[in-house]
Amino acid sequence: MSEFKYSERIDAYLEGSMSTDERQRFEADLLSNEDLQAEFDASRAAQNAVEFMAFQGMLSRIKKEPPTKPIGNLANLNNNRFWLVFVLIGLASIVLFWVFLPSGKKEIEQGQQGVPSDSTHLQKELQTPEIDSLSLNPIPVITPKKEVTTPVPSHSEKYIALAKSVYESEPVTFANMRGSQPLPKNDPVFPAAKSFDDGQFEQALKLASDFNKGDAGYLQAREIAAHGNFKLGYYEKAAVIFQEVIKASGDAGERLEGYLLLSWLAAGKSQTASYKSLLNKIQKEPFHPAHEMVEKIKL
Amino acid sequence: MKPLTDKEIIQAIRAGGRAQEEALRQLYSNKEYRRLAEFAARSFSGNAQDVEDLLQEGLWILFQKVKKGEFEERSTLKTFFGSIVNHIGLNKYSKQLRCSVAIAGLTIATEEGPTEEDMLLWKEKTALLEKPFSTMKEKCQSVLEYWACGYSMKEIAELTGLKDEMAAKNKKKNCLKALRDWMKDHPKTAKWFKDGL
Repeated sequence: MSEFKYSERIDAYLEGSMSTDERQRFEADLLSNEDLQAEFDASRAAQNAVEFMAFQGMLSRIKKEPPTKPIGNLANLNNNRFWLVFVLIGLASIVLFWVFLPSGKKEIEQGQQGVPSDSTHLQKELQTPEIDSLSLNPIPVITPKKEVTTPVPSHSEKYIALAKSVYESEPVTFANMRGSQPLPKNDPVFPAAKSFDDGQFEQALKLASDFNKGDAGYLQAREIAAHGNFKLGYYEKAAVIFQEVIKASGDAGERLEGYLLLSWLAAGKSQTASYKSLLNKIQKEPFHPAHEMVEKIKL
Repeated sequence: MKPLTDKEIIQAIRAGGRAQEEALRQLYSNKEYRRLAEFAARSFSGNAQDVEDLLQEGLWILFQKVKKGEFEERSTLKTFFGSIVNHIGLNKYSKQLRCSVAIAGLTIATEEGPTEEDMLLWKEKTALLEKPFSTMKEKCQSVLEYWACGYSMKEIAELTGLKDEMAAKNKKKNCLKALRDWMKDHPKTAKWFKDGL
């Protein structure tokens, strides 16, 4: 085993405790003294190895911990939950107001129509010109209010609306589909991606359909086609294409599983075993890319 | 827990210890960072199994850059991380595109091409770690690990069951010396650890 002759100087240098002069002298010695150089390299390597090991240790401790909710754009959801509840209560109050107010008025009116003869007499008295002339304010005439009938959406409409709202909560764009850098114009899928991002979904579908299996960008084009079909309301077709891309992408397809689920939901397939099994899988995996998206699906 | 801001993460990484670990915990569980690693894995290797490796290696490099003051805060940490994982993906996974390439608008001039060390994947790097530490006792490893994480000697003593601060200090000194000796006797591996991380 080799002995270290310069460990004190090396430590001082690595810890940054040398003065500027000492530091410069040390660096000059490093160039001329081979032993010092060898010891310094070994020390530096040991330090780097320890730092690397420490990082691995931190990671393994973190991975062993029970999974916490992933942090991301929706990380403030908990903070916002209070406001969400507040707004929901407000909305519920408005709805209740509109639902019960007409019936309340109706009750008043029914009460007036159904009162015994004494009251009718009294009412007649109240309507005599003498009384009328004495009253400062005209007696309000309660006219039957038209019942407000809001169309109740069917189950399938509800599911479509839910799927669409969850889908829109995480807008899909293809400008950065190959990473954090913008998609270059010479990329084969650029025209389809751009059409999609510009909201020209039919055009995007048309351009995406020009790709054949084996072409560069085929899978990306299929992905655009799947999203395009979803946007245009062809949910079953979207689901079929999402399935195809997921299958072809191997594990990388996981990130599309949320969209497959939404397509199935909108296509009225939320009772199928495939839907339930995929939903269950995503819900159980907190790091699944669609975990947060799926959390928003509350049937 | 409230997510840390970029500034707080940078401070935590530089502070070391528990703060650093918390910063790593937040970044590791951040959905958007994972998504960036996914994009890079998908773009360069097409294999989702590489996502975890890319995420971990990307975070390792990010931590090193922040510690060394090489992150100048001209972009957000997330953007910086995105460029790191893209570089890793480009250099390591697209073996057919080693020199001056343009993929998806990302042009990286690699004049000499990546070295063997650059091409080592995260798993290989991790495996390489076993060499110098294989003969080291577990307590030694723990002491060095906590020391490198920035824990104080008092904390290290508490965490590893050593008598006191002084005992932790001596243990660290001896363990580090043993590791340096090993590195000096294995210059090839030492060179990799010196340059390759």
